[in-house]
Amino acid sequence: MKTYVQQLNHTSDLGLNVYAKSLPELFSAAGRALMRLMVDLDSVKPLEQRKLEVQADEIDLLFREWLSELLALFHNEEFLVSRIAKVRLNNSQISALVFGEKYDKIRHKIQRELKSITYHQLGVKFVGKRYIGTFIIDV
Amino acid sequence: MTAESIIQKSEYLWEIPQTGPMRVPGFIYATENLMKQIHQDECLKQVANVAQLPGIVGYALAMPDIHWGYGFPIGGVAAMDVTSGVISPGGVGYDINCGVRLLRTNLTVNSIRPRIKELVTGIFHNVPTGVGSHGAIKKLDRKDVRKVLLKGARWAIENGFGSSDDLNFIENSGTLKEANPEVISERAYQRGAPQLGTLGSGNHFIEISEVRDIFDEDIAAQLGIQKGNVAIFIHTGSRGLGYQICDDFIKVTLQATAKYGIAIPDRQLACAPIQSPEGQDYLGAMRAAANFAFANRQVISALIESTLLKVLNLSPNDLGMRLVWDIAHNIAKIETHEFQGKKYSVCVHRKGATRAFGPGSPDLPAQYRSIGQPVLVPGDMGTESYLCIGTHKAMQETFGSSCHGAGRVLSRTQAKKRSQGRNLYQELAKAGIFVMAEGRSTIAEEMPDAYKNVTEVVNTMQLAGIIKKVARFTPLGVVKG
Repeated sequence: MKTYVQQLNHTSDLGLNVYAKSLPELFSAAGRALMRLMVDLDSVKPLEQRKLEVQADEIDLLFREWLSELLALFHNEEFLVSRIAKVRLNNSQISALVFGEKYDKIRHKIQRELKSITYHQLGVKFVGKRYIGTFIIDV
Repeated sequence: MTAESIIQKSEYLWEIPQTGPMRVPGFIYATENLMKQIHQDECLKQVANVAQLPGIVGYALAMPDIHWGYGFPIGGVAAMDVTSGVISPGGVGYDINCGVRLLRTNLTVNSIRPRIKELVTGIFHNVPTGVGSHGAIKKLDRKDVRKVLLKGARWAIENGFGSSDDLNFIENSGTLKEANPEVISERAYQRGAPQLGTLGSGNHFIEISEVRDIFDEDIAAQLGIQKGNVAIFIHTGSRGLGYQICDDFIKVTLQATAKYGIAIPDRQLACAPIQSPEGQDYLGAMRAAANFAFANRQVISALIESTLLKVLNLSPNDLGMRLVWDIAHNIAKIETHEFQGKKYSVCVHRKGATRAFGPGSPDLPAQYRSIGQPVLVPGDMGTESYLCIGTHKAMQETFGSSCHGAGRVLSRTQAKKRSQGRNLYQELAKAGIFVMAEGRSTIAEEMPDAYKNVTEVVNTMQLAGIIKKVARFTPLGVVKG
């Protein structure tokens, strides 16, 4: 079963449905899809690595916290992520190694500003042998 | 929400009747034509959701520019009783005190049109735009950010950006009292420090406009607006600092929602009783972010003024740039309103809605008290914008509130599809509008087709008697983030 991403038709903001056969794949694909909304991932070299560890009380909130942390790397350190590896996950905790580099205004053409991951229609569901993660981003 | 469940009250007003967990009905200001567009997304369901929140007074309101947001709809107004009601960070939005200011000038369109590229290019270079933009002014240290959070636009003036007269023409004189910088996270401070005086991205813009039509000569003259002259609109907010504060406090209020046993139909409506410690902390933090936004627009005004003076080689007197008004359209404020003959102290959430106080309001500066508060309604970058004023009827019906813009009608994906194969820069240039943008997707996503007709939106509110049109502006040059 293929991992894939579908863009939702939200009027003011951007939303994604991400489909994957396992939770680690879902979180990883959603993270890359999020970064792709901001920048062409081919232009981001995996020069540095960061370890991310995120906790939350339930899987939906963990999904949002994880995506928020990826966004925070850009907002706080101007660090763009293009590769995600070693995803370890249970229902309340995720750890992963993320690779990328510092934002370079010349090489990285930013598509749009992503303000925050909202809680509106947020969810991780298991439907028909696959996981679906849904999130809407304020842009 | 089905079309059948909604009752048409008049040619401009519709009601979502109070059913199920709704505490009050929902009222929507729209013409029949706008209502058809409104039905296309999920915003009416969001109006009904807001009507479920504790302490809501009267009705959950929607302006004609309403569209699907997250939690609250964009174009929504909700007044919560200060003693029994709640405050919701989602009812303000991530971009706290996103707002608009209008500046008038002595410049004439004929003298500026040949130089519009120079002016737009100058502003584009002097006001940092785009994602994570910074560097307009020296990076603030934590102490300075704290001062901005407490003083708002006054900080900008004390630091050489504009004159103290400007404060008369900003909502709440550019400073919300009782801001609390102590409850703001380090992350928010960090994000704010380099971003004062920056435009940001998305729908934020600076527009050089022509005063095209005057609908009320007397009021226009009092506001310094003259047909054929050039004016400037600025649309931006509290940047990363505001986004971070909203994010931080949705977490706080999600816990408060559970702690106080409040039932909400959507997590994004997380809220806390206004009088609770969580509610008070959010109010203090939100006011601080609002002050950052007032300061941001004040600094940007000064950067634009210095650009115009330099490019056009004029004296400040010849340029005659003066602030007409600065409004917040993502905010919650404690105000006193009369509803059905009873006085209420309410927390008015305006998310994608502007304050529109009528004549005589003590909150207006002496210069504007007899005419009412200016209401700024920018359209999309290819059409037109309006300057209006609030009325007595706004005070009676909408808690002194009105529309804030055209309102989106196409999603960003739909807009991009529609823009394929088109050169939007050229299309706008053909219409006499010179545009510069930082974000690669901005122009397509913000194309004129993505928005409702702003004239129809403004006319609806005028028909309802909530605002009165004063002047219409058309764009000459636009800087987008």
